[in-house]
Amino acid sequence: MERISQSQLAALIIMFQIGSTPLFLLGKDAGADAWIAVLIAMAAGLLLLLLTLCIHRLEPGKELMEIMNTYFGKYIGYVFGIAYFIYFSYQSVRNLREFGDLTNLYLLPRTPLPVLIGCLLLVAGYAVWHGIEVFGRITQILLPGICAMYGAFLIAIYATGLFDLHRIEPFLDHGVMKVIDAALPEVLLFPFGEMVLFLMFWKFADRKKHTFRTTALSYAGTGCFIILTNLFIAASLGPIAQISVAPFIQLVSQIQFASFVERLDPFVAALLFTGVFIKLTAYFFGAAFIGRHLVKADQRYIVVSVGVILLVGSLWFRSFMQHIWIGFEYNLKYHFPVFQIYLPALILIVMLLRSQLRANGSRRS
Amino acid sequence: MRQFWVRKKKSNKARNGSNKQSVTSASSAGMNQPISAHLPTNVEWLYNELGASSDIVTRKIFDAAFGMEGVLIYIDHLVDQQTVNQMIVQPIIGMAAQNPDVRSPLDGMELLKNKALSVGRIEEVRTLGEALDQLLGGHTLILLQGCQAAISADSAGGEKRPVEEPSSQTVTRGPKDGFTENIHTNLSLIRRRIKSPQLRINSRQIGTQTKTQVSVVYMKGIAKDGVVKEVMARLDRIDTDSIMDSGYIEEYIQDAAFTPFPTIQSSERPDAVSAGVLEGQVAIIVDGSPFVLVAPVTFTRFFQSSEDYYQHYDISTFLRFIRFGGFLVSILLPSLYIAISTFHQEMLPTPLVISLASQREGVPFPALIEAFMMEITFEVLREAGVRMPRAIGPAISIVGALVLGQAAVQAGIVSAAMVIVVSFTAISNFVIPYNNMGNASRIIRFVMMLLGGTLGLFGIMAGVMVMLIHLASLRSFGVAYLAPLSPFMRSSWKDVFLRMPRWAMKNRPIMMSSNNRTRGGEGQKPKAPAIPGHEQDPSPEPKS
Amino acid sequence: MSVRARLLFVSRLVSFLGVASLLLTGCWDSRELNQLGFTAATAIDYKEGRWDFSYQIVVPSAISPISVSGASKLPVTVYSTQGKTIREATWRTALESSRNPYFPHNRVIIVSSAAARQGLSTLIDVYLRSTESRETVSVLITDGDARQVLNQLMQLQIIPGDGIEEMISEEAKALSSLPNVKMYDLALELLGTAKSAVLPEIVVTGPPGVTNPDELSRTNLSSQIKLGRLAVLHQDKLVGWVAQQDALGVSFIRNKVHSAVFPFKCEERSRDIDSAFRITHTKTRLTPHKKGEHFIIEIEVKGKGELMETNCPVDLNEPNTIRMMEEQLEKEIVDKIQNSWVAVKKLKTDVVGFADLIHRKYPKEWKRIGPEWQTEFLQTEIRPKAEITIKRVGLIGKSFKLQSEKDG
Repeated sequence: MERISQSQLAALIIMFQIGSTPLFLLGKDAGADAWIAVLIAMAAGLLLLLLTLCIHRLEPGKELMEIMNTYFGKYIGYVFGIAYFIYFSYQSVRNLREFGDLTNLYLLPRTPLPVLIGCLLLVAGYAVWHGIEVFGRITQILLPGICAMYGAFLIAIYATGLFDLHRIEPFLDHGVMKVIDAALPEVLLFPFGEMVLFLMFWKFADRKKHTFRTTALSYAGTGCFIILTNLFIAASLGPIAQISVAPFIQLVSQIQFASFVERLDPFVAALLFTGVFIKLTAYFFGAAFIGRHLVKADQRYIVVSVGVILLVGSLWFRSFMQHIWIGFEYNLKYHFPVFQIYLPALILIVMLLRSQLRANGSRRS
Repeated sequence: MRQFWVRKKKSNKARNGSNKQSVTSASSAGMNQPISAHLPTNVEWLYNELGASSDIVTRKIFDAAFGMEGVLIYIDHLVDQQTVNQMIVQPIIGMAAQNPDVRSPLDGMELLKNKALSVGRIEEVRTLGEALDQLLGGHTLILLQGCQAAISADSAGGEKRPVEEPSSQTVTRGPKDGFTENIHTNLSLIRRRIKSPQLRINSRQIGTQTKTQVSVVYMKGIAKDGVVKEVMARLDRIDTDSIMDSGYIEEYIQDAAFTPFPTIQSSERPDAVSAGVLEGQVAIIVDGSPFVLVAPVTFTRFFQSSEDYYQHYDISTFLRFIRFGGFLVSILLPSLYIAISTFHQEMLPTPLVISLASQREGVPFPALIEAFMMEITFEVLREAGVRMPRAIGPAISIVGALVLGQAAVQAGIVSAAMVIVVSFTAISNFVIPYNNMGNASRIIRFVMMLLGGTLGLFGIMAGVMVMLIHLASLRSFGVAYLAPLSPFMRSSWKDVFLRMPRWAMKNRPIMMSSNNRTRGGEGQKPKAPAIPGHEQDPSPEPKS
Repeated sequence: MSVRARLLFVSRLVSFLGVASLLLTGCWDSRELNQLGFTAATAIDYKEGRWDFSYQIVVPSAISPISVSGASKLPVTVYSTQGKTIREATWRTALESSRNPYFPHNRVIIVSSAAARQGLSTLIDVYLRSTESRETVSVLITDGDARQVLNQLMQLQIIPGDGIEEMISEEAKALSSLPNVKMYDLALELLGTAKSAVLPEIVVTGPPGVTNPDELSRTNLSSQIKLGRLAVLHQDKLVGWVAQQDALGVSFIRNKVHSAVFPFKCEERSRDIDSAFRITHTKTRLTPHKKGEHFIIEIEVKGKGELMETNCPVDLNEPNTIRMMEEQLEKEIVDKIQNSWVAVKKLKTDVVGFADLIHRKYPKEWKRIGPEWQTEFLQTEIRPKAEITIKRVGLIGKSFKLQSEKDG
């Protein structure tokens, strides 16, 4: 079986969590206190992460689909499998679409969307084709570059003098409730609650006894990083952050120092590209792995057919606004909690019950 | 369907196999036939096998009066005339003159072998096939009447080039000898550098027609056993008629067939190959080629010149960064120029964009076409430079520089900036110490230019990502191509981007070598001893 | 060839052809450099219910290092279009220009006072919405025809748009009276708590304007571009002007002084203003205090600098003299701040950012007074204080005057 090292797992988690999130102002509704909302959501997300890690701990050698098959039986497991297949594909589609639209906005306004999405999908499919090991290696290579770039941007923003902590004062101007409202469930579900996908990946990690520590540390580190970028956005753009589609890009386009370092937004596009690419490919992997269980077919056919599904799916939305609106109005409220909270909780409960039963049974006999 | 296909393929293979066998048995009837006691039969057979080529030399030695008859056969162009004359013919004649007591042909043979022939390597062959092989290998055969064996004396020789400075990998400091076409010379160049009993040389012949000698050189205990076995297995799998250069071998044994990146290193420098062998790599030396293959190899190895280790480590580190930078420039610069100047003009500073725009006034082609024209022109010039007779070289380079540089810009066919971009790219390409990595970058450059010209930076990013995925998926004899960057191996980072001082690199890189990793002792960092008579600090040093 | 191999071959061929045709027919977004009209400056005017949009486009061949025969000598050309909305006006350029205007390299935008009275929110919306335009563009205002400014040629700078930008950013660095306001600052301030902003004024002195390159071959131009007063905006509309001599005080309150040179009396009793001081490092701290219903803002200016000129008979090596001069300077700055405060109060607009200050420190009170800040602002008092250190006095210690008087 393919193996990824602990450092690759860490890179994967960090890149997956970062994705495109630093580009946006999470917890927008909390206004200047958005970063507090992110902090709350991150803490809540840690609980969810513990939940999923518990599932993994109980069955370290199995991935989500195998666990569901073992504990729910073949048929219910199959149904849940389909559900998760749709969920992973849909997440992948959302990332694809978001990427396509932002590229249309910032880099190539006149290039048709299907071309952009198709290109990205080809790259992602190529990665999936080569398997999880190669994917782990790429994340490991890209991670230092991404970190360095974000670091450079933050320094440049500070050096330009855009960063002004006064802009996020006064704290909790509109009360704590407003902040919590903004944090839960929106920010919890995106991006922190998405770690459920790693139930598909933990199985491949070597030296499994470190998995828990690696995951928790990478999660916490990334969470802090996202809080930092959020803080930067809020403290540099102030009220503009509230109306901007991608505030970080707006922010970077303000960078101007040493008289020639300016107009850096295509580099943000590069960050966006890699971040979204990693996230989308991770979900692509998830969908392809589940697909292999659902349809017993050659890996290659699965990759190609999932790719086609994603391409069609991402062109389904009418517009970028509709895409965002559906995401906030429906997905975050009704759909994502099912896959990120309720189902994992159900799985864990069933697992605990069954192990309890088995323990009782063995004691009785 | 798959099953069917597999079966069909198998049957094909089987048929091929049987075909081959029949062919070989038909052409070499009596290959395994023992040498007969009747001398003329043997000589005739050998003659016929070689098609009575005009360069076969036979010479009668002894006569019936002497008590035995014999024939000496060699192929004129394969042997060293001096050896044949002085070490073989002369002693035989001397022996005949001494008129010793020879009772039987077997006795004579022993006498010849032990007392007369003053050649180092002497073998006794018993079949005609073996005899033929020896003859083709440059040996001199001595056949005796009534003897069911023949003596084969090593007299291989012929013209060979002296050891010269390598032409493709030159250094300013370091050994100046290079491999030649002769495998014995090459092996001796390595042997002389590594006087260790652990150095192993394993030879075989590849090529049904050329019977080229291929030697595998490695350090027992340092090279991974698995890798050595794999190299030999892959060499043994080769089934071809001819090997003209190590390039033939490379194509048969490399890991990935469809990749522009070299997964086997080839070097003309004995010092580089020896250093690699000492780090656990396996060298494959092919007779007739001055380029020695070294495997397994990682991506970053192609940016290390052997000179890095002869120069001071700070400048070596700096030069490595230059090389990596040169590689990136060589791949990306033209495409970035196209992408930025046709898609993302906002990225350029205002004065620069205005000046570029003014240069482009009146240029009739789009930037992409312009860049392609210039790149292709350069490639033509480069190829011409390699192929053309040496004497014309300067003339062509003057024409190239003048026509392409100046006249094209003045005529308004290309912009001056494009000339700068293309020439800088071209120069950067030569920074990479290994030519085949440079060639990889030439191919990728064109793909990137297309991507940059159609989808701008987005296309370039997609291209770079595909390249990364491809690189990450490559392996060279089981070693990940991107190691130690990914999979990450911190202990081997001392010799990747940085070149740490020799005393700091105590261990061999983990990718190549087996568990035996220690190069040398601890604490070798140089410490200047106190100048005698100036001991200012009387406190004794804790460590001596 | 088996079926599978043939399928594989066909699929490879199709994908290869697909990619190749994509690459060959692509280029939806590619624009050659010589198809773009690089805009160096734009001007916006509001006339008879329509936006009047002008822009200065660079003529690359005129500034090419390689001389192209037959090229025009004019480095720029100015187009004007009209429309009900700004974007419509921009796109109408296609009707009269061979090259589409390209805005990322636009350095300045000049707003006429008429347009500013009409309201700038649509302009800001255009800038934030469009990816092609940059929010780092400097915004200036002119009292009159904005297009006139674009028509003006400059002597030292080939491209006038660049020249204006350099002028305002140099001024903001060296004199600090007028700030260099970027589109992004403008948007931030108008969205801020006080909902008001300032803009520097630019004027073209004396007709006729220099619009012909031949007129540039004179040492003394008949007309020149100059920076003028400080315009004050409230809720995206122009409400009034602050004179240039009061603008420095506003800069002090807003903590926007990088460096400034100003004259002062070296002694209390001297009749004329006879010395000059260059302030090089300065920082203003504002602290709001509550006093009854209203607020007092404490303004503390701390600064360092060097003496540039003096005509007093003083020995600058004496600490007392320096102390005296510093006191004079402090008084001068406090006066400036007071004067500008009067000027700002007259306009009833909080351009000095007190609203933000109070909102931050007293969020509860702000909920009460926030809605009527316009009137509350007038009730606010200020307590300016200054602390100046003269770090250096130049190459001579005693003043020349002192020495000459002694000899005489």
